[in-house]
Amino acid sequence: MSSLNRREFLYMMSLLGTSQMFAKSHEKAYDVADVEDYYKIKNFGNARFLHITDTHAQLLPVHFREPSVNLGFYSNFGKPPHVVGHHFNKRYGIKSNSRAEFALSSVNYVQNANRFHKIGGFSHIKTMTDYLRGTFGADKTLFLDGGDTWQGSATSLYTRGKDMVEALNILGVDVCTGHWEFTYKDKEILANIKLLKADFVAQNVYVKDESLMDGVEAYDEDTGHAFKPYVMKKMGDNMVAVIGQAFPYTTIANPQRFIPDWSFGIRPEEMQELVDEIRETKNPDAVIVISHNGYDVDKKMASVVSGIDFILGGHTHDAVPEAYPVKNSKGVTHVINSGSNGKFVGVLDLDISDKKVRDFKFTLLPVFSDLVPADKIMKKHIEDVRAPFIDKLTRPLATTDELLYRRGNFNGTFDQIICNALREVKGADISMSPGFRWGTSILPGGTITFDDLMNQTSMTYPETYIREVKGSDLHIILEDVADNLFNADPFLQQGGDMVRTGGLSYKIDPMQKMGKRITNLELTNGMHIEANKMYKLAGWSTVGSQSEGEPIWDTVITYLEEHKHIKNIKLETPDIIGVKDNPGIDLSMYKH
Amino acid sequence: MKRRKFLGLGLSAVAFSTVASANILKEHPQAFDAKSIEEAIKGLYGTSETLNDGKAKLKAPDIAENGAAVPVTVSTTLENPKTMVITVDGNPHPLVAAWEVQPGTIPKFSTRIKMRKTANVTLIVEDENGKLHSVTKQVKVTVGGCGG
Repeated sequence: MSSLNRREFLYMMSLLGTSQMFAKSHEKAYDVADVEDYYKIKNFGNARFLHITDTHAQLLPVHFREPSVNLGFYSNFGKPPHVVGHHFNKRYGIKSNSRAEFALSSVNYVQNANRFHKIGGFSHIKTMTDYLRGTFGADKTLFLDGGDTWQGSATSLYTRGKDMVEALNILGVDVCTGHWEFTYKDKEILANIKLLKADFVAQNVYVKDESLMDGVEAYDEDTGHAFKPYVMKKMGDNMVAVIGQAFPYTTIANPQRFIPDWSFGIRPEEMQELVDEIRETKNPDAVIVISHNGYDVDKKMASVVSGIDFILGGHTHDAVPEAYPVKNSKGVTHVINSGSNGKFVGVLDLDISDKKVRDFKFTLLPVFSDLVPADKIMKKHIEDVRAPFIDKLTRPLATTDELLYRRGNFNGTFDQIICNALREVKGADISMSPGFRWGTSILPGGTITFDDLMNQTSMTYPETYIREVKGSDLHIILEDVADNLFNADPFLQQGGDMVRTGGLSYKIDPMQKMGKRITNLELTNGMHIEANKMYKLAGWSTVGSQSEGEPIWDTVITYLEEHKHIKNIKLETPDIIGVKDNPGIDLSMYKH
Repeated sequence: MKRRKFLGLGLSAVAFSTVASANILKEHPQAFDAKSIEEAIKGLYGTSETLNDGKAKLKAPDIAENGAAVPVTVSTTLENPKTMVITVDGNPHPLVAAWEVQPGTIPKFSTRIKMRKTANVTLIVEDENGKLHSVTKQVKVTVGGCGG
């Protein structure tokens, strides 16, 4: 395969950067007659995949600031997706104050966001993907969704994911897999999959042996698969296998209590057996995996499993504008990740002949909501879904002088609000908030609505807690989460960011072994955390069992209505050791 | 064969292997009380020297979904294995399971083991000449609750 894809991308980005392609966009904003004017992708090959992932139920266009800290170490040092900020701009030739920078980079974010319109939105995605499918040939195009689609907004929670199932049906998605989908109750998940017109695939989810014995239904009793592991799809003259890989650590990073009968895991041996079986018995022209592993896990899986042509991945929310080649025992597998929150559609065109992928082209297309007109049917669906809750959703809670965002390995400004709220409202010494990678951004000068707050907190286990915790246990918690993020073995990384802390500062050395990364634990007043002393800790989103407190959004509403206006946020981020030359952090943006 | 039926058979196989390992228990009553792997293995086989030659096969998760019941599957490519044992170095009593393999049976067993913390799980297979073959895999047990 050639590296044509990256060259093509750079070409397209240079157009975006100099605004040639979009020169007339401002005159024609919102009434563009022909999308072709703006999204001129030359058709290539004979099979097209459209890929969205981790949209987190963002039906409307969003602001979402990409991370300025996404550290990679060892074999992932400086490799995608661990290239951020100015390093990212340099690698991909992105110009300052361009649309490409606004979509893909954290540099000049506020400036760009004030200049350009929001990105994404399902009615814009619908127009764009209809166009991309129509111009290439619907019979040769497959539309894949990588999961984390049914969760992340107020309406997705209120409808138990059904608003998103309908949105996927309207989009015409062909194949899906999942992660946060599994945070609803098992019966709800199965009912939603019945409503879903797409195939829901997962080779790595099994019904537990003891549950099978109790008579729990499986998709395949012979193998124990809870869901269809893969589907064969006709694309023009070619037959293509699409294998599903759900998030392997769902039952560890999220509650087991909603899905007690299902067992997950990366299961690379099973993946290899399945690929071999498909290659031997189904005679496929190409083998594709729709994955929710996360970028580094996908890269490692691509190196230990052979026979996969492309992994279209998600989970770690990486907008990576290139297909990353990984060598394995029988050839090369390319790993792709198409960003998050509906900001992008990945377009992968394959040239297939004689049972082989001869060449390909990959383009990560930003969904500029001012350039792509809204699809009427999807727009109506979104309005209908929101209508019963619209007063509640649009209720203003506070205003802000600060850019509010979450994404990044360490604390974001919206998490700081959550951590401050937990401490203040619950009277705690210390607060903790999970390092989720979802959660949209709000610009300085903006209003925080209930809708915005739900975009940061909407989930099926939002309950808060306050409890007494020993200093040594605080250390253990931080070490445990840090190891999930920075373990040298990608198969032991769960794909979340570091837990956010309020009232607690520390130093972190990511290259150390577990138990030795976190030092200098201190309270805000400078007092050292003592191992045997008890501290009042407040938090939310407990995985093990349901906590007793009110949902986190109530805690934050109390705080926001008390403060009314957010300014001068003091971001509590740790001192990081050994990252001066790491392209996974833009130090010009850290602690600023 | 349907998995449910197979599991039914599997249960009887487990029952059988418990009988078989009862022999091991009878001959080496202290093995399961041993505080270290070396003590346990020496007690069972008279030596703790093992070959890491890829003939012992161990399947276990990278991270346990539930430390109280970690699914482990053991097997071997050796022709006539005599016994197979599992040890966990983080447990107070590291020897956690033992099978005596009857001639003509397929040497493949699945079980659930309890692990209190991140540790190395080791399978040791005794071949027909009394030589020991081993394989080790680390299984992580997380405190959980704050990731995401």
